[in-house]
Amino acid sequence: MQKNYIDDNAPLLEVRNLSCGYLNRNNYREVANGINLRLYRGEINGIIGEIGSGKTTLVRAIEGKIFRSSGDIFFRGESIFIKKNYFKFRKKRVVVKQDSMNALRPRYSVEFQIRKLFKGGKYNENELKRAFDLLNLDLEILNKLPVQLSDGTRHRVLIAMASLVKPEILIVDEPTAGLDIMAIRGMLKLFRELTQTTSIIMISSDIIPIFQVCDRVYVMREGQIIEDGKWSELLDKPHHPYVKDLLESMPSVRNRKKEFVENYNEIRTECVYSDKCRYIDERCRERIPYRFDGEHGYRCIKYPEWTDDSA
Amino acid sequence: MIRLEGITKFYMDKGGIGKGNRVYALKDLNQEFSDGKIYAVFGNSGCGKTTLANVISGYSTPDSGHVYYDGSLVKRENSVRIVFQDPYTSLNGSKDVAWHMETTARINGMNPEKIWNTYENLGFFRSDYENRMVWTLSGGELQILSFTIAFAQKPRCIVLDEPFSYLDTMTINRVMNLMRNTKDKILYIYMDNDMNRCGYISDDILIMDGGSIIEQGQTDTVIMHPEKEFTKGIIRNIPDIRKRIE
Repeated sequence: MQKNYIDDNAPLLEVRNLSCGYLNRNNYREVANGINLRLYRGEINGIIGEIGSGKTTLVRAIEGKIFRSSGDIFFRGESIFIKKNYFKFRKKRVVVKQDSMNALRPRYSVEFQIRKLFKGGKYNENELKRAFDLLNLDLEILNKLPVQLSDGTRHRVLIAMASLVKPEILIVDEPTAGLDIMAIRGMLKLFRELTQTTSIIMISSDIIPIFQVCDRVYVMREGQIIEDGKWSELLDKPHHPYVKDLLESMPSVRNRKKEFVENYNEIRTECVYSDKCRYIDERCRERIPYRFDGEHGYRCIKYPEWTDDSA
Repeated sequence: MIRLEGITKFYMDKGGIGKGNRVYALKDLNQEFSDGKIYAVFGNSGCGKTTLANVISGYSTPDSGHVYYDGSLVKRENSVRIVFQDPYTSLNGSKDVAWHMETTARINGMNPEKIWNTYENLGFFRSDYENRMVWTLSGGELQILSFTIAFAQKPRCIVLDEPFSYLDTMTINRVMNLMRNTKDKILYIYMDNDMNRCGYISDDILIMDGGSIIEQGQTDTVIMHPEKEFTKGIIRNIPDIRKRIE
């Protein structure tokens, strides 16, 4: 067991005021700005947001692969943008990406690629059986080629491989896309068991699995984090009207008679939800600070007022 | 109106232990889809949803049985469109978004402005996306683009094969509102493996298992009073946001 010189109360990974984007020869397009994120040991953090809101860009920034204009990322209290620390960090994290075909070699069998993870060629068979059992996969798959598998199956094989390595930080991007219910439930159980050794960042546009397994949930819109908190607080008492609308408008069997209609306003302001918010005010045009209510952070200037006049 | 009569489809097993055997994907289906409704087809993965979608839209021919479009065996030009499951392979990656709009408009003899209008109603603005190459779009943006192309041609029927698997809640709501408002002109057949979405959008629901339809009816009655054991298990295990997994 490796000895930790840093106390357990400090966060394992800390993103402080990060702004990042894509840099070409001519122009710079900023996608995410002002992002604060903390990952503690043994926790699962979830990030939800619309498509095009910068979730995948944030993953690439945490990997250390794209340009940042300001801010910093700390792994065990050391900045990863220093070269020496970056190579240390790179061995401790694993990223499972959205397109699984590019991550596997198409013409080699799955078992060959699992053995290649451990250079000697031996892997723990009991752990592999346990992971395959939870993810609803056959052991026959080990002899097949990745081109013969479907998209969801390939994604599950990647997650089983990541669980064998046991990295300190595991980042999964859209793990639940295209899977059925039993496979999703098994995957969430596997994530819960993994938290003894690893901390997980889970990014998805599907809300239900995020709230079923995560300890802390971040909500993104148009490149900013607009609210974060414990999962139970976010469900019971959302501080931002966008989050309330998001939770109410979720398609489910229970509210099938209800039809959700967004309000369209003409005013364009600084707040990211100002074009569709129903509690719009003149104060929303100003730059809105990120405020705190105990452990619960949010970016809305009208918080205690809009809860009173809600219908 | 689309009618299926005795549809059977099988694939040959090409390797392994069962080499040369027939694997039945669809077994003797008889079903009628009438106009003015949204049908949802629910089934776990591997039960034959994608094969059914391909047979209805004419992309694969059944081994026995017939598909009738408005009472005739001939598939007319605008009778059915399909949105495929994998958005990465159903569009041209080396062209930009405007090329897809112009090509669709040129083939169908319509104005490209109309397609852009549909795209902007779903929350994606022309100024942001006009010059983006298709390979730089994310999975959800590709799915919206292929839905827009299918919808803007105004067919009689659209077959949607797991169209929302990469999308977020707010965009799904916009698409579903659009589907509800246009359902008297277009017949929608919607395949998914999430019971929450199927129950939310549909008027009638069909439940598939092992290549055949085992239960069907109005969505309210199927959800309140399921008959088969399989359906009861599905209804009991609908994912709920407040059920924690420990």
